[in-house]
Amino acid sequence: MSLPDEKSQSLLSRIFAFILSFAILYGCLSLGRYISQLLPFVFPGSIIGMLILFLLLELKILRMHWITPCADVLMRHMVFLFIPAAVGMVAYLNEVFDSVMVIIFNVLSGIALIILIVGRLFQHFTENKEQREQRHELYKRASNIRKLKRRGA
Amino acid sequence: MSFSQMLSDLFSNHTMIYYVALPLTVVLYVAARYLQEKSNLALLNPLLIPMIAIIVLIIMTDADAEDYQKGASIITWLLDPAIVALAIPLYLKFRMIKAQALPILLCCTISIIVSFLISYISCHLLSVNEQMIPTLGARSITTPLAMDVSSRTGGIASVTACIVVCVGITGAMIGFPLMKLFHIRSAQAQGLAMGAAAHAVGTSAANQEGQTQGAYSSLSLIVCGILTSFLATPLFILFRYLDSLF
Repeated sequence: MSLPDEKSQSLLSRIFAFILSFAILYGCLSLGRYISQLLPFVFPGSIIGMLILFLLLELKILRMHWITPCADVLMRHMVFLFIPAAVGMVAYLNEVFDSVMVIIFNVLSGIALIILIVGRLFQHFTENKEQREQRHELYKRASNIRKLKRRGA
Repeated sequence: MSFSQMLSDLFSNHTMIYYVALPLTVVLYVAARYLQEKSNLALLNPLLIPMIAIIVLIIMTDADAEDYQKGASIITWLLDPAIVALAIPLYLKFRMIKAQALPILLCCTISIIVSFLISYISCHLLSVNEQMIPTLGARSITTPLAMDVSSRTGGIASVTACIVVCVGITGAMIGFPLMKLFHIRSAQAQGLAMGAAAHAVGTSAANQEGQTQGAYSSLSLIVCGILTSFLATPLFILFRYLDSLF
């Protein structure tokens, strides 16, 4: 099965491509959920579905352009999909307020430390000497510009 | 919730908030997104603004939060397919990822240890009840896994779920400004840090930043999730042991 080029697609075939891509995503998800039910430990079905889709793409069973029409829209607006779950927080406001200081401290320091440690460490592992010097040069230049601007102001 | 349940739910009795849930959420999201694009402020986050607006509305009108969630259940229903779709950036960048398997594993393990250590130290310093430690420990991984880890190690799963959401929103908001501050410029390191610190919500922010960031973020979302569910219990035993020494 092959879909025509994106530019030459009519509205109808574009709708068909969209439905097909959603069906593929949902198929992977259902399979993932089924597998997660069989597992002896808790593991989210959506992540198993993601690994299944990845395997199918890697084994060249599925083509990229079969999935992209719907997947692009879903990923671009993924933040939107978290809104109802975030609103669900309202039910636990009392428990959260009871230990609000610990939670705020944990959330902020956790994010800052993990980003600092993981980011710097991985950057250190993956960049070579040239890239590092280039980066330092860029920062020097940027801080110089900032200094000049402050002096100008 | 399955689709048939959603349909049958439509014809049972509900309050007003049930019917306005979907259009209200869409309008608020579009407005917040438009405002953020115009003003470029991190605070006008398209997740934070609609969330606060709806929570305020629910509290003011004394509405049922569960009714709102039922009304907006089609949005939540689409969340799982979206997580499946995260396989695409992962697939596109897989050749790069394969060569760096060891550093990735190391970084994710360290991030988990840091996460548990912070919850342990902060609970001791601020001397809150012991149950907060496991409740806070798994806050940086995706919700279903975090709830499981929390209840297995003796925490309150529902509070963990709530904190996980807070972490995600905060991470998506302050993540990239923080990386600028810490001089983290490599797209791969940015993605990995984002996924490790703020799970799926951070990944959605990373995807907007670029394809490489999105790929590495979904990767560390998976790796950290799996590693946490394996390492949580041994880490707690280790911490208890160290605690008894001092």
